[in-house]
Amino acid sequence: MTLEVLKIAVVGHTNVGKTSLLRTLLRDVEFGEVSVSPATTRHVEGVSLLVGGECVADLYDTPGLEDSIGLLEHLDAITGERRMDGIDVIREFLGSDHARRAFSQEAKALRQVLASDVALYVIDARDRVSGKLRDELEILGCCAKPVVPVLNFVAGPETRTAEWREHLARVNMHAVVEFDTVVLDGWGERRLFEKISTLLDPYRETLEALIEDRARQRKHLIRASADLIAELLIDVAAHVVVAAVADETSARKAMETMQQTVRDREQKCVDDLLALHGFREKDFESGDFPIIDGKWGLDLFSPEALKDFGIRATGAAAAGAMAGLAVDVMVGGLTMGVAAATGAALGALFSATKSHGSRIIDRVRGFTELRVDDQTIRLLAARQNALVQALFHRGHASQDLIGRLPLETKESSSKKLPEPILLSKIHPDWSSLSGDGFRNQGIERRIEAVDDLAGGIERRLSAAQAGQ
Amino acid sequence: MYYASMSSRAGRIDAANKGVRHVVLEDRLLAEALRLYEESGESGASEVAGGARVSGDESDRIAREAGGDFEYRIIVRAGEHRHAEPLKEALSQLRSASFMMLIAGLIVAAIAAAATARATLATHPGEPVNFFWALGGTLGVETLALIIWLLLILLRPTTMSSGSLGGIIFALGRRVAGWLHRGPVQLVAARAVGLVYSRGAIGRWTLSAISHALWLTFLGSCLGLLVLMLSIREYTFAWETTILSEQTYVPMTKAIAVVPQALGFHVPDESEILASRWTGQGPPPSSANEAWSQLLMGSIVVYGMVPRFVLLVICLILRKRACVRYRLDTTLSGYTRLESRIMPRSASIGVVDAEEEPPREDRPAQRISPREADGDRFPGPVAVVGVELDREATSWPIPIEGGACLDLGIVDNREERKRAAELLGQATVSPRLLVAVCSLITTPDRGVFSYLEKLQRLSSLPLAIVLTDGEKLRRRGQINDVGQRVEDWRKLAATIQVSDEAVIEVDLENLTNHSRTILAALTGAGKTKAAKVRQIERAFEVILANVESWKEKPSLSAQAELHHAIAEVYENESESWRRLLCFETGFAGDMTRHIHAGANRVLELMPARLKSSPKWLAIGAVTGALGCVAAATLISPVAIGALPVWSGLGAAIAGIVQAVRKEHGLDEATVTGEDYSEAVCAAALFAVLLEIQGRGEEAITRILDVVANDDIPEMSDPAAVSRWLDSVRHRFDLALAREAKP
Repeated sequence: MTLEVLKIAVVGHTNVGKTSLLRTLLRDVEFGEVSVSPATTRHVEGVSLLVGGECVADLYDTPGLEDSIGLLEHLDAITGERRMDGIDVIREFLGSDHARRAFSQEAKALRQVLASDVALYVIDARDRVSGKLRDELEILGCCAKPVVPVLNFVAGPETRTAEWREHLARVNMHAVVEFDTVVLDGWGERRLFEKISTLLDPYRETLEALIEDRARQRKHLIRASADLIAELLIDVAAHVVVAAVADETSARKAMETMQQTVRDREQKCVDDLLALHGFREKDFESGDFPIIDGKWGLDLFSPEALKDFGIRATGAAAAGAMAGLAVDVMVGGLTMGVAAATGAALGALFSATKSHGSRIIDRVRGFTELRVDDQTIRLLAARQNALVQALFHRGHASQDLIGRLPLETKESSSKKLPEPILLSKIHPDWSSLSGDGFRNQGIERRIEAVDDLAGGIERRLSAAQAGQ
Repeated sequence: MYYASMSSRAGRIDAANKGVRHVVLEDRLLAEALRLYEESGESGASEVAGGARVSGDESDRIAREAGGDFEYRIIVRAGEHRHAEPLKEALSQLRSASFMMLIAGLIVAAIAAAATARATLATHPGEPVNFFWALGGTLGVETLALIIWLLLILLRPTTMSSGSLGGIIFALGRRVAGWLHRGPVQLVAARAVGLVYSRGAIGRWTLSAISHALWLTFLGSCLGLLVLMLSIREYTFAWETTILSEQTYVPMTKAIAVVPQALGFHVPDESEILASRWTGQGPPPSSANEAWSQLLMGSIVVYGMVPRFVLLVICLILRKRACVRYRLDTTLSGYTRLESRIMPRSASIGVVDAEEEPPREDRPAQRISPREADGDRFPGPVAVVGVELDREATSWPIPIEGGACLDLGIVDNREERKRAAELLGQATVSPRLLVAVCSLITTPDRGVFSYLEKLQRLSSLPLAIVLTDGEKLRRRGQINDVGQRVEDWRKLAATIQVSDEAVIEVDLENLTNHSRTILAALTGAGKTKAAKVRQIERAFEVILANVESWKEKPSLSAQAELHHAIAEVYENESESWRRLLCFETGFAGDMTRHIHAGANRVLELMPARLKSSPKWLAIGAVTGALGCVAAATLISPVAIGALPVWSGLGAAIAGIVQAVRKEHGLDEATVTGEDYSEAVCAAALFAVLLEIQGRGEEAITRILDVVANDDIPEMSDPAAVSRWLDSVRHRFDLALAREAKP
């Protein structure tokens, strides 16, 4: 299917966030140059939006229309007493010497509007509907191209959205979009494309493809974020340091090692999340992780351990019984089930030693386990959750640092941790933090646990996204 | 065509041209292994950290250029990645280990089957082989396993994993590979295989197929041994029962026999069945041993091997289909984060309309410092214009202490701009300073500054810019931006020659004592001002120096030189005085017309008293004309070439004087003396005009009224000229003092 390539010119007064809009649409923090200073962009720069590797839209960043009052006066002078259509006046202006001199920036922007299918007129919604901006709109109105006003910075306090909407309606611009390039609300982008679509029917398919692609990306992003968090939580929950409690220095050292390991692991997750969402590590101000508490003790008989033991033992016993049955058959049924029973018992025992044998041996040797306590795991989850939410609401035009992560969680300590986390606590081999990486046998179950947990996190994240 | 153009623009090679690789399961497996390898980097496993988590720029690039969908690019990337080779090797090690385990499993199954067959037929001497026991021994466990498999595959297809025979073989394979080859690469390879083969359809059908193959081998081997034993030994088959009757056994046996019989196996008939019952004593019945043994073999084939074989074929087909259908889960974080690298969401088109330095008009350097707006010396009001301020949020006009204020209002659109300019032009008392109040909330732009420049040009006033609303900007959360914003305003102000110290940040809504002082200093109301540098002394010196070089009454060209020299003294204010002489557009077109306009302009500025004096009339016309010439030559020296010849100039000036004279009803002939007086007067008038330009026209006229006296003494030597100039300067100071009085 060949989609029509839509050409979009992004225009507006200087420093209202034209480049920011592009950065956010492109999810590219590196595009162009953004600053609080005026006239940062002085040339027209184009960039293609790709869907599945194919270009669907070309976006053009233009310099700001700085001297609109002067330009409109000039245009009126061109018109003089003649009866002319706006577009002819603009054309005459672009061909004139003034377009190369005093109004060269404005001419660049207008030239690009004429070469495009639609113009996005970016408005800083905190600004007044001032004379120069009215004149800008009037000039754009002469360009004979659909104009979609985009109200930027609507998320802040002091916005004049209503005032702007009223004025835009007055100049016959009704397809207005609110789209904050710094604080995203998740649907702004979709609304933007939909608005363009209402004005440009021939490009409906293109825009639908774009919307669909963006929705898909968003879903994947949620899923992938959930994956990363789940990996972190499983890694940390399953992490165990074996140490002798009796020896104070070794106990303290074990605690310190564990804390450092957990901090590093969280940092890795943060880095991965930032990379995933297309932000740079320098965008994030990583505060210190609060206290990481460890918990000593061998939790051999926690309900999860027993339950898990039960499930596995049953499976192993069944396997053992099958083996015994085979033996039975081989010896011509002489044992009459004794072999089967023995097999079941052996299977159960084998399963128990396989999963908990070394732990029992450790206990006998006077070592005990140090693991991250529940509240720390809750806090880790809350912090990463907060980070992901922040990343989803962060436009790629944002210049501020991502705020610090919460230092405590509101979740009560009495609330039960999710099943996969409880399960991972009794499977030290699930943690990638413990020495030599994963052992093979735990892998499938670990994958299941991560999947399970990630599914839960994903639901939470999507609900939070949808809820706003 | 569209694709081609797109791709070339996006800078990638079209996949179609390059030839899309055929992707098989192995490629996906490799991609999966690479993902795991990259994910495992840095996360504790120290030996992995060294190698993994490389960005793999080269492979990223190849993948980007490969085109195709995201999965395809992931696969291409994995194939090109520098870790691909070790991973491939590890995967193949794993594969061969699993294959070895499968062979071993088949051998074990065959041996176990042989044992089973022997055990089945083993009986105490003198006892017959119990047919149903033998049948159960060979087919019992197998059928049980088959039923469990069927139940699992039908009820919970997702849980086909470690429990099954296939799963055991698989786990053993991985275990063996793990024993043979240790290392992070092998570890992730094993994980990848685990992920691909032990989950989903591929795993389900692979493991099932292995199980079926094992059982098929088992049954085949079992059958083979049975055939062998039945061939070489004599066995008697019988059936026994304690609680069941013959009525049960006969139909049961017949039912079992139906299918084998249909396939050509010889089966016992009803009488033979009845005859084969053994009660545990006596010689075993030996009526139909051949038929019984054929039924046993037939049952193994029909109820064991055929279903297993069919299922094996089905499972292999399903496995094949699953392998073909298998796709990477590109939603996994490990892949999603690759997306921006190998499947960019955007491609740069680049700069399409480059920035070019606009040809700057030559603007003479001019710096008007607001300090010149000394409140004591120049008592005029301060003109205040609010540029694009928020009417509702600003208390207008701003408080200017210690002086009158000319309120030009807030300008926001063209009409207001025009009105403000008119107000400024019509001011009855000429202001001494123009203050533009701008909001820090608005970003400075060329529009504002081109307007301010226009105002400044119209009024010839020094311009100061007061930036207010700093607090509002801070409240917007842009605390750090305030300094930057002030800088931006200064930068743009510099383009219209407004110096940095003339751009101040004072929050008018929140005035403090300090900011009041700053404001007062700026508007010249305070006492902390430096006096304006007077240039008239220097101008008079220039006149005197010229006079000293004169031998006779100077020619027009000599006078023009003198005017040019005076103009040079005031060069840095040339823009405003050029405007005063209506010579602002620079040198263009008909020079005579400009000279005419300049002469008229000076005459306009002269008080009526002087206009009635023919001599002053002539002097004024010469001043204006030569002023224009000086302005023109100051702008571009080549303009001299374009001037009319001096005689023509003289004629033009004479014409002007004549016309003005007629206007004023003076018709007596011009008395032209032979001394320097006219030339000196014209030069002095020019100097005074340049010195006082920038004030309102009325003020200029008032000052001229005082400075110029009616009778001009004869000046034939420099001393006389010097004396007269001194008297002019005296009167000039007097005039300024009068002006300074409120």
